Amino acid sequence: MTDHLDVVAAFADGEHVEADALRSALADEAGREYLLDLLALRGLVSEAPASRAAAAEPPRRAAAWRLLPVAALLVAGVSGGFAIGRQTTGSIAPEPAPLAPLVTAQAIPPELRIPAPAPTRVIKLETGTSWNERSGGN
Amino acid sequence: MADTEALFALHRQGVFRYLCRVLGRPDTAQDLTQEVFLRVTRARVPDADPSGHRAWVFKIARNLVLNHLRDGARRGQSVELVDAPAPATQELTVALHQALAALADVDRDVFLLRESAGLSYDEIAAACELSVEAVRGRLRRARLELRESLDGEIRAARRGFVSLRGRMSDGDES
Repeated sequence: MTDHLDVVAAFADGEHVEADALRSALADEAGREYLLDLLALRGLVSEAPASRAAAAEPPRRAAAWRLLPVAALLVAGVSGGFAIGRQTTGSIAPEPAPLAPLVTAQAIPPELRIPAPAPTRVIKLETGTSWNERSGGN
Repeated sequence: MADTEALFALHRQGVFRYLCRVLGRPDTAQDLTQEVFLRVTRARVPDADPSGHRAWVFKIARNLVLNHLRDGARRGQSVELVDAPAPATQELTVALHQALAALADVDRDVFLLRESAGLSYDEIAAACELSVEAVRGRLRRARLELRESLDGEIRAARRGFVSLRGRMSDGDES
C-alpha cells in the first residue's frame, strides 16, 4: 500500500519509476485515488493566493472599476450644477457695492501720544524659584 | 563558479513562492527573498554540479525562514482578525495556511520545496540535509495529513481539471 503511494507520488513528481511498479500501483484503486488527490492538492497549492491580502485583492479591484461610472456621474452633476448656477446667478445678481474708501495707518506725532498708565503692582522674577504649580490654582 | 546574478534570475520566483507559502505574508517573503540573495552574493557558491546550486539556494532560504519563524514565535505571532465574510479564495488560502501550519516543520518544508518550488527529491534531500528515502517518507506523511485536513477542498478540486504540473508558470525554473 505504502509502496504504491510512493510510486504514484514519484510518478506525479517527475521522478524515475519502474514501469511495472507504476502499473501495479495504478491497478490498485487506492493508488489511483491517491494520484487524483495528489494532483488536486497540487492544484490547490498553486491556485490559492499565498496570503489573505492577496486573496482579497481582485474583488477590491473589481469594486474600484464598478465605482468609476458613479464617479463620472458625480463629476458631471457637479459641473452641470455649477454651470447652471453661474448662469442663473449672473442674471439676478445685484450690482456690486461700491468699494469702501481706503483707510491708511498714519504715524501719531510724539506730542499727541497718550502715555501708558503707571503700574499698580510689580512682580519680581527671581532665579532659582520653581514656577511649577504644585497645588491650588493661584 | 556560478554567477550569482544568474542564480537570482533562475531561482528568485521559486524562492519567493516557497517563502510566501510558508509565511503567508508576501511583504515579509519579499524581504526574506532579498536577504536570501544577499547571502548568496556574500557566500562562495559551491563549485559542485550546477544542479546542486538550486538545493544550496533553497537551503539558505529554508534556514532563513526557520530562523524568522523561531524569532516570531519568541516574540509572539500577530493574529490577523477578519470581520468581513471571506470569499472562496480567501477561505481556501486560510484553510491551506492552517493545514500547512499543522504539519511538522520538516514535513511542511519538504512538501513546499516540492510543490511550491518544484525541487526534485535529490535537491530537497540536499536542502533539508535528509536522505532521499526520508524525503519520500516525509512527503508521503505531509500529503496524507493534508489530504485529511483539506478533504472538502480536495473533493471540490477533483470535480474540475487536474494537471501533473499544477500551475508553476511564473518563472518556473524546473
